[in-house]
Amino acid sequence: MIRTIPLLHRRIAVVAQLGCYPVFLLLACIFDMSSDLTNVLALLGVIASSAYLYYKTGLWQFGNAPDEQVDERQIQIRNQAYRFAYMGLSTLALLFVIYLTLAHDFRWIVPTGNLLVWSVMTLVLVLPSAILAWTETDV
Amino acid sequence: MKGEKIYNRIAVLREERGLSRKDLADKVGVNFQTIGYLERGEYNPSLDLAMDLSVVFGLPVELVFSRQPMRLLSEELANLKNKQS
Repeated sequence: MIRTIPLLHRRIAVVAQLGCYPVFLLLACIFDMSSDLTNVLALLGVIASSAYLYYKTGLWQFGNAPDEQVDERQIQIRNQAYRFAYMGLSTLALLFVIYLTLAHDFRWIVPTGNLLVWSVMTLVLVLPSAILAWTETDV
Repeated sequence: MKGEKIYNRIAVLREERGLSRKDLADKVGVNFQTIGYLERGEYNPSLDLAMDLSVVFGLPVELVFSRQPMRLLSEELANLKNKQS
C-alpha cells in the first residue's frame, strides 16, 4: 500500500526536515540555549518530518534503491536530483568557508558543535530524496 | 537531455482495454506514476519502453507514439487500410 502526500505538504515537510538543525543551531548561537535541549528538539523535528515524508511513500526508495528497483524515468529524475544535491552541497560548503574566513576578521558568530555536525549529516543523507519529494508532481 | 515532445495514445488505449495505470505499469515493468507522466506527455519513453507498450496494446509503435499531435485512431486505421489496398 503506497501512501501519497500532496505536493504542498511534502514541501513543508522537506523544509522542516532540512531546516530543523540549522534553525536550532542559529537559536543556540543567538540565545545561548542549552545544547542538550536544542539537540533533542532538532532531532525530534527531523525524525517527525522524515517519518511523515518517507513512511510508505516510496520516496526514500526512489532516492536510494539500486537502479534495478526503479524504472527508467525514476533513474533519470534521480540522476538530476543527485546532480542538484551535489551542486547544492558544493555551493553551501563554499559559502560556509567564505563565511568562516570573514567571521574571523569581523568577529561574527562561528557555529560549532554537535548541531553543526548533524546539520551537515542530515543534509548529506537526505538531500537527494528531499529534492525528489520537493519536485515530484502529484499523480 | 531534453528531446522534442512525443505525443501518445496511451491513456485512450489503456481505458479502451479496461486497464488501470497499475495494471499497465506491471505489464511493462515500470512504476504506475511513470504511466501517468507518459499519459500527460511529461516524459518521453525510451525506445525499449515504447516497444513494450506497443506490444501490450497489440499495435504498431507509430499508432501509439508520434512526433505530431495524435489524430483520431479511426482516421489512422482508415489511412492504414487505404495504404494497404
